[in-house]
Amino acid sequence: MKTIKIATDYSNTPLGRYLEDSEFNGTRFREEFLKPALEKEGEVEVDIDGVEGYGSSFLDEAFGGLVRKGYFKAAELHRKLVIRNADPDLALYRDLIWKYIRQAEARKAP
Amino acid sequence: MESTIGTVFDTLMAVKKAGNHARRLWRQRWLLSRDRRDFLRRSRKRRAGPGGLDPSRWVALNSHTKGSVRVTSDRKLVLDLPERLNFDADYEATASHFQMLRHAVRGSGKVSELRFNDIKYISPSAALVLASEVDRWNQREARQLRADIESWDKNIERLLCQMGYFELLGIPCPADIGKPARVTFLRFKRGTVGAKDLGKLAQQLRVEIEALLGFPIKKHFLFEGLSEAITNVSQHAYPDTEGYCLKQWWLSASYDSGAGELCVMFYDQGAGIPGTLPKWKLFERVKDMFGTWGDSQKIEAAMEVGRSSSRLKERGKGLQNLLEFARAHREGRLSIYSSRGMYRMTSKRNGEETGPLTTTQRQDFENSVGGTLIEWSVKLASADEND
Repeated sequence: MKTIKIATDYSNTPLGRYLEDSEFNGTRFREEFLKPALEKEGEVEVDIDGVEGYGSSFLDEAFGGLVRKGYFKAAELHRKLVIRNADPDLALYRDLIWKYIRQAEARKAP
Repeated sequence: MESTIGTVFDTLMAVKKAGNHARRLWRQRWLLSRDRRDFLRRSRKRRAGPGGLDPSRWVALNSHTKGSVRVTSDRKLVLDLPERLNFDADYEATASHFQMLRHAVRGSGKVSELRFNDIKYISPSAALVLASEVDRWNQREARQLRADIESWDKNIERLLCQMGYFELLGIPCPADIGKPARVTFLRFKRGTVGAKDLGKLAQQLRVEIEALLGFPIKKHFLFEGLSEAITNVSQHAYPDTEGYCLKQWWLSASYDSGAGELCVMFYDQGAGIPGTLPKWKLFERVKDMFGTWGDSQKIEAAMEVGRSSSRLKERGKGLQNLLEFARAHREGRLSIYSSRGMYRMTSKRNGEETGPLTTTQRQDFENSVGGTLIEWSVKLASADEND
């Protein structure tokens, strides 16, 4: 299983949805880190600890975007993706990630 | 034959008469416009005073700012700031003085001095907006405003020194700025839309806040709010169609040790939330058409989940994120001033078991804040509670 630690592999201040929002935005994280890892590896663990915080724009674009863009279905992500946090304060962001994935799937359904 | 000559003659006479009439009308109109021009010229001269320069031509004046502009002999403007700059209690006077300064800076570039001599109180948010205006002036004109610091109130001098104001004015901070005050300000930070790692500025502010307090704060919630404020500016505040040349935002914080209150402020000089909000519902379009949909109502509408100027379903969660930092504390308040409206959410917790009690408030004003100002104000009880 491949592990991506957002704070060290990407940035400890991830921010924004699109490329123009900031250097470490959700679109770039999805396209350069998350999608290739999920396509190449069977399972991917994303460690969300050690960051300054997360805004909904970043989380929705990075994780919800996987479904919206048609790369994966929500059920597939539930099998392949593990969101890990040791810091209890970040548990709410883990829940938000799954919420955005579910919402993206629901909006895609005809 | 005779009758034919008579008809031709009558026609010629009618044409001549019509010509004379048209000439008379044209002359009357010319005389009227000449008198009007003369009258306007004379009245402008009367208003202009001894310098011969009419301040109202350069700055927006209203009842609050009427006596706040003077013209020097070298045809420059001197702007006086009022005794109190505070969006909470003196909104109209504060906003209209900033509006006056903005017009003077952007419109004419004729401002030579900004006088702080009368100021007795300046709130943290007003200090940030003032700093943003002077910062903008420095960037546009590439020269500093003149300031007579000798006559400033000591508290104001200390505040402006902490905020980085003296650097903007191009003068060193005075060595002796008196005993430490109850309220400490942090140096403001400026971010530019499209700059590389904007999240680092938010992190830097948090580190400075914790160094000032001596204990950690709820950093995840603060970053959540600030990151969404920054994203909103990037996505909505400066639409390409409006031709903004400087797409920037300013950020600062202050701590009142007496009240145990931390205040974090974020300001942009963009189109404002009311200006970029889509009108989805028919009644909103109708209300907007008749001018009965106030700016404060538009800000409140923008707080709804899923409402975004992008009209994409996945967007429009950002403004909700702003609430979290205020909600995470025993007592917290989020105030959003945008264009001519204000929306405020106050949250109070009685115990850990129950959720916070939330109340909201809206208000519309005569003068615009000149963009969007977001202010978080939270009570910090102790280090344990904030850890």
